[in-house]
Amino acid sequence: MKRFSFFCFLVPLSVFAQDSERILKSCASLLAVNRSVQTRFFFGEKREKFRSDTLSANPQNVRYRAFNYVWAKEYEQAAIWLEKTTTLSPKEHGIAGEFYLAQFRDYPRALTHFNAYDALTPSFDDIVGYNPVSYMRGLTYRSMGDHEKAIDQFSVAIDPLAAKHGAEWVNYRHFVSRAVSYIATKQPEKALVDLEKAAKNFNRSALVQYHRGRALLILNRIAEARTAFQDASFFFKALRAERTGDYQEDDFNPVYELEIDETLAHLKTLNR
Amino acid sequence: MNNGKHCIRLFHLVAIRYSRQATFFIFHFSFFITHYSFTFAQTPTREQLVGTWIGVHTEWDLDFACALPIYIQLDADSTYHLGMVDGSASKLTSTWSILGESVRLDTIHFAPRLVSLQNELLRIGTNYPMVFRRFNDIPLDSATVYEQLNGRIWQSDSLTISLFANGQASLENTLAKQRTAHFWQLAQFSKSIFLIIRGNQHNRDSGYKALWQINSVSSKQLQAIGWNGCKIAAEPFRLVRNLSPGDSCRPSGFQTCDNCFRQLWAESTLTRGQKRYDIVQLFTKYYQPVNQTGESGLVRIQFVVNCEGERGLVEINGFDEDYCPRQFDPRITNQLSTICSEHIATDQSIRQSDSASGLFRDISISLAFRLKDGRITEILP
Repeated sequence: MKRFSFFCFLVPLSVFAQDSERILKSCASLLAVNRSVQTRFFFGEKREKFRSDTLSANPQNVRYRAFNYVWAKEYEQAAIWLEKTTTLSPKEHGIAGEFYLAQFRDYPRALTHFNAYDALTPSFDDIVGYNPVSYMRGLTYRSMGDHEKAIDQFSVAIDPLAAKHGAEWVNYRHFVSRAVSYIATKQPEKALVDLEKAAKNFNRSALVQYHRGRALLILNRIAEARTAFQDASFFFKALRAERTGDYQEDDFNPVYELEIDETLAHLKTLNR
Repeated sequence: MNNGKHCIRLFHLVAIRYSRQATFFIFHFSFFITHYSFTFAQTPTREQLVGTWIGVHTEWDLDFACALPIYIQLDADSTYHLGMVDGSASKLTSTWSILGESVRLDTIHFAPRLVSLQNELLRIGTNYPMVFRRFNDIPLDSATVYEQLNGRIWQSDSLTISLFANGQASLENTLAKQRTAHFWQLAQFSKSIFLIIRGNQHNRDSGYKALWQINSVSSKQLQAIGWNGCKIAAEPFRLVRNLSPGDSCRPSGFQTCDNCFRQLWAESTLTRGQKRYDIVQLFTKYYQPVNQTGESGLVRIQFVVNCEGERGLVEINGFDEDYCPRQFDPRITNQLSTICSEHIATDQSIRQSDSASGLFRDISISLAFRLKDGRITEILP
């Protein structure tokens, strides 16, 4: 009887065969991952920190260290190391500003860093990542609720470029950002002008159509607004199918499918 | 910024891959594992490598290791086998060789010195070192071992193991008094018997917790070879008592389903993309602002929801506007915690690993709120 119960005890092993095949394959893959020495430890933050301690304190290494703390949401350390990067190299003010704006949502600090970055070359609109610092400053003012200053800064980023090379050379998201501030300051006509230009630069944008709808609503052009929101809904779904994952056209100007659908539903009730 | 996004993407890809497969084990976090990454060992000779090597653990980080339930067999005729110690999967067979300072296993050519022998342990790699010990066959009768172990509580200096007759098992850290619940079984490897601890408090899935080779067993003593939390040793256990029908196998506190769980690997991002809308709406609807000057800065709430929907490992931290740690008014933190508990932890969709199969996984949530005078002004991404 005892031998029988022992036999039963071993039987469940076969149940796991499928799972075990996967485990064995993943271990074989891990052997392959270990075939060479990697320079960074993406999944071992303590090992990565140990490695960081051995690196020279140049701005790139210090910035990378700050990034690691931001990802881990260790805000105290992240802020300390971000400030260190700017002490080591004033050029780091741009990236620090972007981090305070996008990750920390700390607008006063972001503005301080963008101003310091821009002051390095007063006659030139320095670039932060893919955007001019004036645009980043515009986003910061907008987040602080100061749309007038935001429009000024967006215009610094947009107008000289459009005048020199044409509106088609302007990032469509920049037009959208200025349009958002125009809408907020009850200037829907100006918003529509910007959104038309944005649509020319990306004619399948749900983001552009959504804000067109908002501007048209303010002008009480309900039928056109409904069409714009319907286009936004269509483009949104098309983009979602095209780009797998949790897609967002512009993190600084988020638009949500539910928001579009709710607006459309509200417009239907207006018709009744 | 681009590097950051790339790393996060890469992180998520591999985290999903490995956390789901959950093969490993962590004994307890307080022991630091010696870090060999910068030790330059000599490539072992062919004669030194020939033999069977039993997986001990994978060192995912300096203080985090998970059980490695595999073995590597390197034969003198250059045959290479990779298999599961418990025989639960078909072994992979290929060839191996040493070319100068480089070892080849199957098609994997290891860079010089990445396969090394240190203190009778075979270490492979420095990224996520995989540690193996040399296997010595200890013939034992499986039925006798089962008879001795079944329905009894065994204790070493650091660990108490309860092996229930229904196949459940609990492991209790003797010092920390932390107990986790699993399932146990015996597996025969060559003529040896291994005690396998796997699964969680709910089922036998979710990977291996521990594997010990039984060295000897009697009615009062048990000796098992394996990782004891700080070294690989033949750990002596003494019989505490027989389990009684009233004894139940329950964890002492919150337990993740996955035996190789790490919060950072399992983070479910709720504040990016389309999910952000729901989170913003949720806190707009339920959070009642506490209008109090000075209640400004960041509040970070972190917690884990296991595959069964149980919430644990809750941590709430506050930072002032200069990012120095601070306490916030409990009316604020309690509200945020309650909203998380009642509306996020209960959302099954965030635990669903695959909507088609209906499988659930452990997830970690980390939310950070920016407050101004008791009002939420932003939810950080």
